[in-house]
Amino acid sequence: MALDSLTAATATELVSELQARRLSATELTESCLNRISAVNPELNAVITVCEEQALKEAAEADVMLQRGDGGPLTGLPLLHKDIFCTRGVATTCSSKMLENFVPPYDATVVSRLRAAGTIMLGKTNMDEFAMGSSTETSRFGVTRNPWNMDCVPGGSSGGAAAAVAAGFAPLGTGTDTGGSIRQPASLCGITGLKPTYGRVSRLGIIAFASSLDQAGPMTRTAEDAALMLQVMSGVDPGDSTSADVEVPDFRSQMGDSIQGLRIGIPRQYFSPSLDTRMAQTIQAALDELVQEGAELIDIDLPHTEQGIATYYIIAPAEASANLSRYDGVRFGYRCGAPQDLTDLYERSRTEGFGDEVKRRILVGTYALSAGFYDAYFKKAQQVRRLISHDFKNAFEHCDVIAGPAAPGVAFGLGTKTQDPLAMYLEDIYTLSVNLAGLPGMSVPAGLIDDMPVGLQLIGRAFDEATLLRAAHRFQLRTDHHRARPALAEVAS
Amino acid sequence: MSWEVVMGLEVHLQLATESKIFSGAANQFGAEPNEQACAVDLGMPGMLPVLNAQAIRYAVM
Repeated sequence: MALDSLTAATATELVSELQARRLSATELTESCLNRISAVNPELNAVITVCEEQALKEAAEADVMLQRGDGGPLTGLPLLHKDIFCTRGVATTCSSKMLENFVPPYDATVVSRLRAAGTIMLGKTNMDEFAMGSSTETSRFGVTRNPWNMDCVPGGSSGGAAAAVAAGFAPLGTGTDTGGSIRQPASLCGITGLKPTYGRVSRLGIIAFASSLDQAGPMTRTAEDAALMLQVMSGVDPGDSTSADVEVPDFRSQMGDSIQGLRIGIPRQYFSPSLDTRMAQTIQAALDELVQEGAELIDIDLPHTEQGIATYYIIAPAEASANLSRYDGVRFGYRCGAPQDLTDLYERSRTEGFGDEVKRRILVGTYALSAGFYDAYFKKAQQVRRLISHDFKNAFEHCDVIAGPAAPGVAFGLGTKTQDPLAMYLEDIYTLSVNLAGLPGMSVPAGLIDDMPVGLQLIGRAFDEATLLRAAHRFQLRTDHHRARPALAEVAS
Repeated sequence: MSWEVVMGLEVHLQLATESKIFSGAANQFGAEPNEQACAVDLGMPGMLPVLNAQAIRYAVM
């Protein structure tokens, strides 16, 4: 394989080259590090690079590969969203509050991926504390979309999406609380999967909303996503919310036919307010699935419209609890010369948190306060159950639900920052999936004005295998996932 | 006027587990300060509580 196509190859292709020793892990790692060095100054997708450590891990991987001891991920470079605690390496959540936080522990996802032989190149940029849909609230500056540098990459896993799209690494980790893997995957033209709640351990992932957060793979193809998900999945005694369910071999049935697969199309997703070209692009993608033997079925998700309000009460409420630990006492940012305890708390939090984080803590605290708890938080949890039931009922008539991953293509930097509500609407198709705890993925489905569009597939609980199979069949007969931003031709 | 006495007993018992209720850290009385606090106890970023099963068994008993 020609070295100049290394940064465009899929993880699956690279593993084949690595195991056949036509390529060394060291060459591959150097190639990725060079690309980051050349292109990241413009994109700002990566905020911490671990060059020395990465080359050391690559050398170790080469020893294993030489001995024939390589596993499914050995030698593959990877980038972690800066929400995953990495022992000895700064983990900031793109916040001033954790600017100098160096965890003495690894997240379970990090240690599992390391044990599987991946090479960590560094940490990627994100919206502060995972709150956002554009990666514009980061302490370390915005990340640009490699398809158009004046546009956002989406968020909150925007750094990871931009990095994979730009060829910095074949594998990236993200987290998704209301759409933060799927929406940036859609906006950057890559494949992103949010597993079922409980499929992947949350231990060591800096918490935003504990009943909604899930970690997942961000890759170029569904095949690569399956490779990563296999390693990431599985019950963890250190995370009581991780599910003690069997982890199937996600790849074993990926090549199987989808003849007869029933794909539910929610009426509510294709309302008149959906942009016409988006609707056409998604319809064309669905037609490809029909050509593969799938059947489209009209379904109803009656409480879709209540999703945003429900999410924007529950998520901030949980965030207000999870972020109360940041008090300037034990770790994280502490204000200068605190006068007393109250001053310590007030100034550390005022100075340490950005505006969107403060906004959500305030909303969440209010929704949980005495006198308002019943009207807001409790009511939202009740509506959440209705939303969950909508999906359960729909899955009596179909096996997978499909629709857009985002309402449009990547928007211009700064165009929604003054209007929080407009920004919240970015997650309109994704957040109900988190509320219901179901798996969802976004796969590249084409371009509108040269900007990527993602098709979202939603599955039954713990049925990631069906999503991966449908996505893989789609990627066998289409080549939207092979499209690269013009940036790909730059440097390296 | 006659009064009826109504008394209630609220009993608090320390459950004699070997480790803390939400983390596996030790809980020995009289140990040096801060030597039995682990990352979970400190609420460090990313840490999650895990319930001590023996605490439940003792409590239910």
